Amino acid sequence: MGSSKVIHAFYNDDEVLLDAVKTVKAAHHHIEEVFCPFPVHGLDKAMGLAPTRIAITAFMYGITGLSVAIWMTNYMMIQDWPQDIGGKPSFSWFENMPAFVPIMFELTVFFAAHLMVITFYMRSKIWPFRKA
Amino acid sequence: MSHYEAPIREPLILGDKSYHDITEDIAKPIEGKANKNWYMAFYISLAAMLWGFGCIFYTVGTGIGVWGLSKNIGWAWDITNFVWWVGIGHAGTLISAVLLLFRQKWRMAINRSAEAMTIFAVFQAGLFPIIHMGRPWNAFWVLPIPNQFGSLWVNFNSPLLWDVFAISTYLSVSLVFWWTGLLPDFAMIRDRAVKPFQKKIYSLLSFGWSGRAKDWQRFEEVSLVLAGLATPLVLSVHTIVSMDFATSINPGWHSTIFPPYFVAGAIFSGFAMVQTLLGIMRKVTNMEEYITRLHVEYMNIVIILTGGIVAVAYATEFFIAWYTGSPYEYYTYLSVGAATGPYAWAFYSLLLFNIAIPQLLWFKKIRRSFIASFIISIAINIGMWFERFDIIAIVLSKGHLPSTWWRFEPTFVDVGIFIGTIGFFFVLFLLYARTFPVIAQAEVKTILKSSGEFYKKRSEQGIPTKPAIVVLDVEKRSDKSDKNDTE
Repeated sequence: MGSSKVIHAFYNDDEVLLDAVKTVKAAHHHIEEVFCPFPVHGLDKAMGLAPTRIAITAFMYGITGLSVAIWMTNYMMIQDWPQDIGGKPSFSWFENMPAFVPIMFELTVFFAAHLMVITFYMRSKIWPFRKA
Repeated sequence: MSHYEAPIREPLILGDKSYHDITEDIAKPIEGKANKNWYMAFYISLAAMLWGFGCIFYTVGTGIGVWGLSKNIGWAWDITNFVWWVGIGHAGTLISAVLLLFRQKWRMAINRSAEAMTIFAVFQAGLFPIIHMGRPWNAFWVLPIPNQFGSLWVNFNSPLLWDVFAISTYLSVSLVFWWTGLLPDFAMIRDRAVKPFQKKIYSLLSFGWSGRAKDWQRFEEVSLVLAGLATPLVLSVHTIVSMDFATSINPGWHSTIFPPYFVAGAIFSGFAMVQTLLGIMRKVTNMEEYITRLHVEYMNIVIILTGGIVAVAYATEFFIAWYTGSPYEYYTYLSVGAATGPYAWAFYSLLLFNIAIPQLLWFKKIRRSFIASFIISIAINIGMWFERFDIIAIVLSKGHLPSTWWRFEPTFVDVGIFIGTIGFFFVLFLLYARTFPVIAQAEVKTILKSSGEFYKKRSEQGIPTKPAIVVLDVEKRSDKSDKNDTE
C-alpha cells in the first residue's frame, strides 16, 4: 500500500451510504470511520466491525451486583448484628433469603445497568466536557 | 430501508417529511422563543410549586402533626400521593423498555416524553417518604452505611427498605437510560446551535457524541440490554410498593393479588398521564405529525387492557371480602361496608373514574378522538388517586377495635403539598419541553422510510426509497478542495 490518499465523502441518504460502504469494502479499501446522525442498520456488518461485547460485561456486572447483595445482607443481618424481627430470627442466611430477594434483584439490576453504561461511555470516550 | 412494513398499516409519521424536516421540527421548540401559553402554564405551575414548598417547610418546621394523621391513620395523603406518582412513572419505562423489546415502532415518537414524565414523577414520589420522616436531614439512615449507632444496620426484612432500593434503582436506571438516548439528539442541537452559549450547554450535555459507527453499534446494544433490565425492574418496583401493604396483616391489605394488580394499575395510570401530557404537548410544540391519532389509539388500547385487569382485581377483592364472612373484612376498601359507610363517595368515585368511564374507549370513535382521550385520561388520573386513597384511608379508618375507628380529614397542608408536587412536576415538564429534544429524532429517522406517510405512498407506486444517484462529471469540476461530494 504505497498510496496514502484520504477521501472524505458526504452522503445524504442512509441506503446510498450503505451501498457505498459495501462497494468500497469490496474494492478492499480501508474505511477509517463513518459518522451518521442516526443508526443505520447493517452498517457495522458492512464495515466489518467486530460485534460489541458490551452485553457480556452487563452480565458480569449483574453477577457482581448479586454477589454484593448476598454478601451485604449476610454480613449486616446474620453476622454483624442478628436480630429477631417479627418472629423471624436471623439464624442463617438461607432461612432468611426469601426476604432478601428484592434486594438481590435490585442490586443486580443496579450494578448491571450503571456499570454497563459507564463502560459504554469509557469505551466510546464520551463524557461531560469532552469535545466532539 | 430498515425493515418491511405492510402498506395497509397506518403511517406513524404524517406529511411529506425528509430527514432534514424531522431535524427542523424537533429543534424548533428549542431554538425558538416560548409563547404566551407556555409562560402562563409555567407561572401557574411555579406558584403551585412554591405553595407546596411552603407547606413542606411548615411541615418540617412544626412536625407532621400539621397533617390530618392520628395514631390510627399513620399515613394517608402522603403514601397515597407517593404510590400515585410512582405508578404514573411506570408508563414511561413500559413505553421505552417493554415496547422496545416487543419491537413496537410507535413508541419512538412518545418514549422521550414518557421517560421524562417517569423521572419527574419519581422525583415527586420520592419527596413524600422523605418529608414523612419528619426529620428529613436524617434520611440517610435508610442507607446501609456504617453509622454513629455502632453497627446498627438497616432492616433488610422490611418492605419499606425494599422500596428504598427499588425506587432509587428505578430512578437512577431510568435516568441513565433516558440520558443515553438523549446524547445523539443533544449532539444534533449542538451541531445546529449558532449562539455560543447554547453551543456550550449542548456540547456539555451531549458528552461529545460524534456518531461514529462503533458508537452506534454499542448504543443500540446498550439500549437493548437496558430495556431488558428495565422491564423486570419496572415490574419489581410496583410489586415492592404493593408489598408495603401486602406484607402487613391488615384486612384489605394482606392480599396476594396486590403485586400484579398494582403493576397493572400503575401502567393504567401512567398511560393516562402520558395521554394528558402529550395531548397538550403535541399542540404546544407542533408535533401533530409525529404524535398522531394512531399513537393515541394504541395508548388507549393499553389503557383498556390494564384497566380491565384492574377492574377484575376490584371485583375479586370485593367478592373475597364478602365471601370470607369475616367481620374484619366487612370494612375493607372494596366491600359493602365501604360502599355504605362515610367513605361511600370515595368508593363510588373509584368505580366511576376507574371502571365506568374508561369503558368508553371500546368505541373506536372515542379511542381515536384527541379531546375524548384527553378527558378520559384526566378521569383515570383522578380514579387512580382514589384507588390509593381508598386502600389507605378506608382500611385504616376501621381498625380491629371500635376505639381505633377514626375518620381521616386532610388539612390544608396535606392538600398544599399534593398540589405543590403537581406544580413541581409541571415546572420540570415545561422546562423540559423547551430545552430538550422532545422526540427521539435518531430513532424516528430510522422508521421514516418504512413508516412515514410520504415513503409509504411512494412504495405503493413502486418508487424505491433509495434516491437515484446522479454521477457528476468530475473532470469539469474545479478540484480545489480535497473533499469529493458524492451525491
